[in-house]
Amino acid sequence: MAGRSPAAKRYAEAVASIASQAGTWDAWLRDLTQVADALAEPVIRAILANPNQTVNISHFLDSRSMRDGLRPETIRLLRVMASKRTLGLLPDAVEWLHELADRARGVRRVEVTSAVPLDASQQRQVQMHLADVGGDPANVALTLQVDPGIIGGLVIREGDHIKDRSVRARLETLRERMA
Amino acid sequence: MAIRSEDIVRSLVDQIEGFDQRERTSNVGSVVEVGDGIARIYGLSQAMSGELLDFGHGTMGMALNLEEDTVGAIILGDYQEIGEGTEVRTTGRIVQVPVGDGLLGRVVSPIGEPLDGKGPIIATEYRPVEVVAPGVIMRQEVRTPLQTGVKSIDTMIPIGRGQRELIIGDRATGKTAIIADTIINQARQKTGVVCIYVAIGQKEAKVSQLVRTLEENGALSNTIIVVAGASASASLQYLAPYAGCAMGEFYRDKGGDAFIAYDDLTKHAWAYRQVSLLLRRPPGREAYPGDVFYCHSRLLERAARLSEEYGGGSLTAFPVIETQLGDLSTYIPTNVISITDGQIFLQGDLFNAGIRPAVNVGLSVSRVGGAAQTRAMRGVAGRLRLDMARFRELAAFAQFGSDLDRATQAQLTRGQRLQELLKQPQYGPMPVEDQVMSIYAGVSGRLDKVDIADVGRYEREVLQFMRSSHPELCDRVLNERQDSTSRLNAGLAQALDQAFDEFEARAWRASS
Repeated sequence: MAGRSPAAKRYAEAVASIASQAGTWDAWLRDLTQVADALAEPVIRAILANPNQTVNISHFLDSRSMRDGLRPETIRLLRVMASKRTLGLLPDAVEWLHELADRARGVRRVEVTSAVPLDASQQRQVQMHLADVGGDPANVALTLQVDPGIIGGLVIREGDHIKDRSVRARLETLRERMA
Repeated sequence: MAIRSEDIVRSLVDQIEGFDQRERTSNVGSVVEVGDGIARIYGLSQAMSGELLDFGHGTMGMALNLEEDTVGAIILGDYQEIGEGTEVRTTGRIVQVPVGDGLLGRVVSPIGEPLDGKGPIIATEYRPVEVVAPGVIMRQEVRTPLQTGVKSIDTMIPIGRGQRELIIGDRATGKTAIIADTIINQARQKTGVVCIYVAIGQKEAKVSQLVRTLEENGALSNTIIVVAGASASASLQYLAPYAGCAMGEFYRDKGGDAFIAYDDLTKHAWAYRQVSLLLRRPPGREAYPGDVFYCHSRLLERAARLSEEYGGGSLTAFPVIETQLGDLSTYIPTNVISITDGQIFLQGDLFNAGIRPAVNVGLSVSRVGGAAQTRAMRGVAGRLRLDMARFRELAAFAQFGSDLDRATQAQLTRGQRLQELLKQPQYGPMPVEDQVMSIYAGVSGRLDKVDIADVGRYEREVLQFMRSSHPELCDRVLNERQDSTSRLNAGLAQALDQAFDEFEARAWRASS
């Protein structure tokens, strides 16, 4: 979660409002992820850095869209971004869009750090625990990490919110209290 | 108080048994950019304005700008360890400093860390550095004097407890000297006023010299020194006056009296300008941010005299402003002049002419302190102010003409003596009763026949004589209750005249 451009968020929000109305989240995400991956190639990045990019990009869009079968909405978005010379924001915008899509569908991405690997039943327990009352545990997407440094317990991170229930944190708090 | 080992063990057991915090929740973010004492942090969506942030490695910060996805923060302390991607946590606490008697006699940083090598600060209480000033209901008018011990100030520009009096002047005109004298006077007169000296952007050598001076004069034990020196980061310099103010408020709120000097707010404005520009707040006039006025007004509003229901405590503030070539009409000086209850204007010309303290009594005012003067002092000061005003007017003319009429010459003679009388050596604050008697000698015309060079000696000797031969008169001057607004009570004046006559007949030998 490095700093993402706020301008990219505007594009993502615009796409999100179209996607939620039309129910085309998956199509948008698939298309844009594909384009963002393509844009990440060094040659294309060099083209994007070119101040005359509008001309170049138009050609590029025509050829790529024919081959990859992007949807017309996607191409319109790319044309808008190209005309405003903001295509460089696309990778950031895709990241934002993933986040907005998760929020719209009620999916929560949670990073769980434990001292030892969690087995399937333990993971299930964590999901049950994290799901809101009446919420669906399946909507809690876990990313598991193992860090023996926390000694025991769990560190649960969701977005920029951390619940630290590790033994290390308790020891640190105890040390601060007794200092 | 001896501490027994069983007590320590029991306290530890209590702490460990009572320790039942199962989880530590915090909001985290990561540093996007860092430099020059500020950091921009991505995330921290739950951060509060002014919240203390933990950068790890024991480095703390203070959230100032809350933006859509990022937080702009100032770093309090060393930022060498912080890099891009460093994880930052919220602490749930507003920035606080230790307060209380444990700080007396100490030199501390704006976050309350000891700088004097005298061991850790023992603080029982912490207070937030940014608080809202007391409201209308909580205040009462200023009416108790705060004696600075400086004759020209106590007589003509009286300061009351709870007042904000600006000290303004060019560099090296004795601004800090007046503060030092005031602090020393509190210790000598045992007024019980706790003093706080906040050094902002000052040379460390100057601060250490002041600390030594206070120590030599026995005033340090009653004083807290908060230092953000010239080499401290702008963030710490910005925080320093608020931290010092919080330490003063501790005494104000428990019904005591405190005195705080901010030396100086010009450098504070510079530090705030630097921080603001680095945080990308829009610049205004002279590139100061739009809220530089508010930055000073909310600080100085915290100096107040509380009403009796709230303990009746007070915090008196002496902000200092350094001018360039005596120009009072620039941005920051005019701002602070309009915030304060008056100003003491120190002038380089006077300083160089040997009139020290170099107070320009014409341009200096105290808007509320008059009500706080003691009766006897008010009785002599009215006359002094008038005589000095006439003298200043005539002195300008007298430089040209040589043929002056008698009345004019008398006025000039009087003025010269009074000007001589108002000179005072540094670190020599004078008690009120001495000041009253000394000024009385001047305004009653006794000095007119004394040679100018002898005025100082006359003053010294007459005060010595009064102390040894008429101590009852000193008490009477001090405790004068007669309600005479502009003139000294006739009975007291008569008694003083008798004593002066006695002195002149018995002890005074004019040289000539």
